[in-house]
Amino acid sequence: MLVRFIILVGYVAAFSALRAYLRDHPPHFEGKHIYEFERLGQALVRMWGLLLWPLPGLMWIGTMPIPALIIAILSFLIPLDIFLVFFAIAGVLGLPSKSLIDKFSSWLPAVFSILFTLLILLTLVRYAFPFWQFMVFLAFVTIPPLLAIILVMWAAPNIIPATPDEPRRALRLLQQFAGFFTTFPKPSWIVEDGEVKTRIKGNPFLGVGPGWLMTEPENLVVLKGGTDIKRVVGPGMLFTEATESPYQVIDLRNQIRVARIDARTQDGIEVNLPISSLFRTDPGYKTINMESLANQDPWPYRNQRDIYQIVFYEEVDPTGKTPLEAHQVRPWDDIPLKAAINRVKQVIPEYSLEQLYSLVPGSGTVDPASGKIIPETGNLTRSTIGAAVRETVKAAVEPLGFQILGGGVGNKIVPTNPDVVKQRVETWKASWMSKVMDWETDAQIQNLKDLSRIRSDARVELLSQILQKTSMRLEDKENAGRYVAHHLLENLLHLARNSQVKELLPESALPTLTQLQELTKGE
Amino acid sequence: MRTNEYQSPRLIVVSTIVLIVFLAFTVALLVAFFPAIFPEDADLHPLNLLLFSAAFGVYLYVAIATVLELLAQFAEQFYDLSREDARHLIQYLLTGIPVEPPKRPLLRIQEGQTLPDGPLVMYMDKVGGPGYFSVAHDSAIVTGKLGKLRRVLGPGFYTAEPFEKVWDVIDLRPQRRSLRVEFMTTDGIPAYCDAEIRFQVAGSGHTDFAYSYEENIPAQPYPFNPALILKLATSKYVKSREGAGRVQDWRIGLVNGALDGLLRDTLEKYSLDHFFNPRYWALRSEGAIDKASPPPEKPIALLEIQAKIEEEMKRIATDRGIVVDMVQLGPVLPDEEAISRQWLEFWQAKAQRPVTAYNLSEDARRHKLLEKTSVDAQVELVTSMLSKLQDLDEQKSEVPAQLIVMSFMDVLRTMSDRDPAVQLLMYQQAESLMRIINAIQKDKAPFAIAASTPALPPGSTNLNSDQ
Repeated sequence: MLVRFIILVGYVAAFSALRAYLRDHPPHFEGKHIYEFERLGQALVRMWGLLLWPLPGLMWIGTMPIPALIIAILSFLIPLDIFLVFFAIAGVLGLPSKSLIDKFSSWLPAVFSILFTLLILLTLVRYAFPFWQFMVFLAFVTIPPLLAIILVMWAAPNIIPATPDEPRRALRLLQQFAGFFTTFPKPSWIVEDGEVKTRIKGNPFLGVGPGWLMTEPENLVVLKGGTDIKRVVGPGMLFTEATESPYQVIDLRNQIRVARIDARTQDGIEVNLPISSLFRTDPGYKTINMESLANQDPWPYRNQRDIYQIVFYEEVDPTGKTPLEAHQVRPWDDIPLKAAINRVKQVIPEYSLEQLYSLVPGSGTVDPASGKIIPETGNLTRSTIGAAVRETVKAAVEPLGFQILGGGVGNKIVPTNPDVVKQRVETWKASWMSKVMDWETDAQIQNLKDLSRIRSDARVELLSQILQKTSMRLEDKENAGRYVAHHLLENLLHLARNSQVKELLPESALPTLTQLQELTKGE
Repeated sequence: MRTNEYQSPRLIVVSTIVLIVFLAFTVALLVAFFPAIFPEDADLHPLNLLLFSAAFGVYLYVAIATVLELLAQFAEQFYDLSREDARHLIQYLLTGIPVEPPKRPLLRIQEGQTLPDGPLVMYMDKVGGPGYFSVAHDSAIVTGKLGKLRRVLGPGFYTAEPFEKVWDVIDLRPQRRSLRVEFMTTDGIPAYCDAEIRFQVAGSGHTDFAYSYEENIPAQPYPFNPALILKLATSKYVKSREGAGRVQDWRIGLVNGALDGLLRDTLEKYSLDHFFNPRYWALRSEGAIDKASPPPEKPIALLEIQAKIEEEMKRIATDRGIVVDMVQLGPVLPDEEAISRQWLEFWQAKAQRPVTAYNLSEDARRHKLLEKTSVDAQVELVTSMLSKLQDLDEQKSEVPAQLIVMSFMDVLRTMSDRDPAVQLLMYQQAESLMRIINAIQKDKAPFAIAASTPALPPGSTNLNSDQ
């Protein structure tokens, strides 16, 4: 009994140690081919190594009149039979061909193992042993492995996502699961953020399909074979066949692509302008709405042919690429933009720089006062170019399976030479300068006017006249005193007649001065 | 353990089966080995049966533990999870989720996003459910499962189906965004305009309630319309194949797409002077006619543009399932520094005008004052002369000219002595006159005057020089 107890304790200890080891050394695909029997060995050890050990069976030695070797062999073989059958079902030994011979070959290990077990059992007829005790022994070595297999077959489909209507769903999921432990796994891919990401690395070309692939709700995937294109799948989850692998992901959502290009105007000015293209793959007549959601309809697209055309319309354009990249194709989602770029470069030379910024002549209501188009009513040249480009792009790419949603020439058209903008600013400034100069000139004129008015001081002029006139009359020296007095009075009179002075003089001033002047007049 | 429609009863079934198998084996063991353990000559101690039963139990446990370990190893790599998360995932996938609190795993969605403190298997977009979604009052989600859109969920607490993931989150709260629209004017000058927009997911009821009674406030402050949420979530634009922010959501689409395009298309129809033209307003306030060519454009009222933009944006937004509350535009300003400098120069010139005018006005006033003084002096001169000569006039006889001249000189002397200001004005003239008279009488100088010559006042004119 003590030995049995030690065996049991040893088994538990061995289980713990082996489990820790396998946990720390998970299956890892090296990228090279692994032969079928090596796969089988890896899977046996990694999956069922803990249950294959005959240690529990050894406890039964001595309980029945059966040789210890037979008990040990049966303790090992019976679980092995179960596991080999499981592996045969799970396709661990699956060969690329589906011929009967290959199918039979995959079952050979299980068949041999079962036959060997039966032979061992046949040898038991030589011994007399209690039947029911032997049956309990058989139950002891059979039930736990069987339970493990049942659990795996039940659990594997629950942890790997698969659509319920997938053909042979449970079997394929089991194959996916078991394949992982062979160190030669069946590949699994998931599309995230529009990119195919490998979750479990496998080699589909070594004949170990199927693989597993799940897309996002908005993606399609083109699958390729070894040298051919197989099919377009998605959106959703699916199993890939042998040799199939993702070739390209197509995003079914609305797409917008923007680029800046250089083009030359009619007047030879090089401008840099942004162009955009809004598009998507043609969704056909279906739309996404609450009804489609209730029906669990996939993201709509018209047909696989569109997708095929779009993907294989991609061009190899080495322009601007390094020699290493020169052979790479321009992605499918660049096609509409590329068409737009070409068209814009054709259209821009039809316009001058002035026209690019202005409203299209005749496109709106003309203001009779200024003779210009009322801005609110006119169309931008940029918009007109955009519409023309859009139409061209539509004609070019919609037959491929695209649907053009919009696009055109965006903001902002900038001359590549900054001097052009500077010149335009200078032009704009000119009208402003004229006004400022006008103001300055006005101020100067006013100043001059004021000065000139002041210089015409009446008093100075008057006295000048007095002196001039007086001097003229000095030739007659006999009457010089009289003349002086007379003209003095005359000038006083002149002063008094000044309107500003007159207002301030008494009313008698003028008559008095006039009378005195008369008195000094003489002969 | 309680179960519901989502919590799997399979664990109970499996546990029960395992227990039954174990008990059945133990019973079978006892029955089969009963004769061998109780006779006196029995070679098998009864404790051996206990040991076999325990060994069977251990073997069963090893089988179950092995399977769970295999599943965890597979899930770890298949879903790219940590060991612990893989174990939790296996547990939840096989046994379902607990119905009693704490309800885990739980993915909280609030403020328009999934909270990063949620369990990894839920939020990392790797596996999804089973679990719970707790969607706050301000958010709505669209879920996906196995590569297809699954459900639209508004605020509330939900059970996530196995592999059901949050595909998109829509923020139900009002949104405000600022935008700078750069454009070229019709005169080819780069300019920009800042704009603000406030909008919100459309839906019924969000403005229908009134706080007439406190008890009547709605449980959900924001509208939720599943069809519109689905529309918004599926109307995104993808900008590039990779990189952060490669997807343009409904908010960016409305602001950077619709508003930016509409505003630019509108503003680009105008010249720069249409937006901001001090020259126009300067001339308008003066009522003057501008001689510059071309004449200044009348600036457009930005509020009118704003109203049109707002109206158009409301129309566009309604088609998309969004309500636009308001659009506000900032002033249109030029990119070019030269423009701002020009405006500054213009403003300076405009501001300088009253200063210049004031200076000139003061200048003129000073001269006017001098002129007035001159007039006053003339009045005084005439008045003084008049008073002197009135006596001569009353005699009605011939008045000697010399007497008149003497009277004049007497007046001048009196004025000169009385007021230095008058002296300044009159002295020069008197001096000139005396010179003339002296010249007439040849060396006879009856009216000699002082030789000193006062300084000329500013602005006065030297009569000698004029002659």
